[in-house]
Amino acid sequence: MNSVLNINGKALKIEFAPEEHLLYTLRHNGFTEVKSGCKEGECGACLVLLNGKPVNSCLMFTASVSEEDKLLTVKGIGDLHEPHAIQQAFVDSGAVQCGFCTPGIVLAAYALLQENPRPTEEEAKKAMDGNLCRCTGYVKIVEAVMLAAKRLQK
Amino acid sequence: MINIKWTYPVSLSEATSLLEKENVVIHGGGTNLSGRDISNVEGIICLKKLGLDYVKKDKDIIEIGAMSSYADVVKALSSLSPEHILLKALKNAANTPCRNRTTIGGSIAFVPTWSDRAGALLALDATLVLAGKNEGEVKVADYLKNKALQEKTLILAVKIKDTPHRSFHYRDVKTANDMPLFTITVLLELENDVIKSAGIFIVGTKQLITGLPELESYLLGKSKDDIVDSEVQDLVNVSIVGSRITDTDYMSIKAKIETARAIFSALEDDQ
Repeated sequence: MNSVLNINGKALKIEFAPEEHLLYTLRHNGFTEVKSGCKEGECGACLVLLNGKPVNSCLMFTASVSEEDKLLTVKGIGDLHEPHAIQQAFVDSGAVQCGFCTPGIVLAAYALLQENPRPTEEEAKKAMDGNLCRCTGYVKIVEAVMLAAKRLQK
Repeated sequence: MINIKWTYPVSLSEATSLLEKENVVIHGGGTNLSGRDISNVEGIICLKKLGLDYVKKDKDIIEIGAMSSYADVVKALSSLSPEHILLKALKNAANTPCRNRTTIGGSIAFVPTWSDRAGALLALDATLVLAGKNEGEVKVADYLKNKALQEKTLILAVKIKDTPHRSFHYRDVKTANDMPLFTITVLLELENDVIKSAGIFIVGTKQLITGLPELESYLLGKSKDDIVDSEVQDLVNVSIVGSRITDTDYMSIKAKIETARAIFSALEDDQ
């Protein structure tokens, strides 16, 4: 199948198999920041934003994404040279250890702060209920989200 | 190589005529279908262009379009009916990214245990609006029991009542964000503090979903002070499917205790 997917603000013509999941389509096309974890919607490593909402790309067929849909991966919000305030807050808070879960968690935080710029800690935890981290114990991650929220308000 | 043809109907008649073909499946949000073996499937009918993502209220009936995601339903019910049992059941179902994709129609069609909604819809005596081979309206209980009703048939919407009720939705989890091993839904309608109707369902039993009609009968006509914890527990005889870290007997006893607690919690639910 062929389709034009809008990824990180760019329209890309992409070829994929009818039964292919979005996770693999993205990775095969260079978006390796989208990680392959549990592949059953529990860990959130493959999380991307679809029209601003967090979704597990491992549970989505690429064919179900329309040309009008907007996909966002973590590289779409900032990079090493120009990190987004959330990415910088994760670094400053020590919220990144092995880093495998980080792209999904940063995007979950991004979606939360777009909708709710002043979340409580409980709301931050709830927004990341689909992301597992096996290194940090989550305390630093929640601190990073709250720090990012504070910085973005300024 | 798998050779599947995707179609994206824009009208109901187009969708139902596509359903008449052999070896076709329906794609709602995809969270369930994507985990299934689709090697024998010849066609996937994607419903996203049918305009079935809506939630509307007319008097005391709420109608939910089949393509509404759990997140859509939670958002709509939070303003339409903030204490509704379906809201309690869906707001913690699975996790945020899954709630953004799982559709109410798809979760009825595929009946995954973790999706939390079955007990609430049965307790509400919900009605499904169907198109295709079995066009019309049927009770969700009948749809789940009768496989023939599911063949070549499309779920268009779910209708639920929005009458005053007291309710409690219990999820058996180890942490708040865990998938439940089983759920208990209690829905009670009261008149002058006396129970006039009751709906109690446990999802995650060996039969997948178990209703408790004897317990419902026991509760009718009683007020909170008339209900005896041990008598409630005696009427909860279900067999919960164990997991690799829990056994059936232990979980079945736990279901008795938690059902009694759920009933008392529902009676304390402030409407």
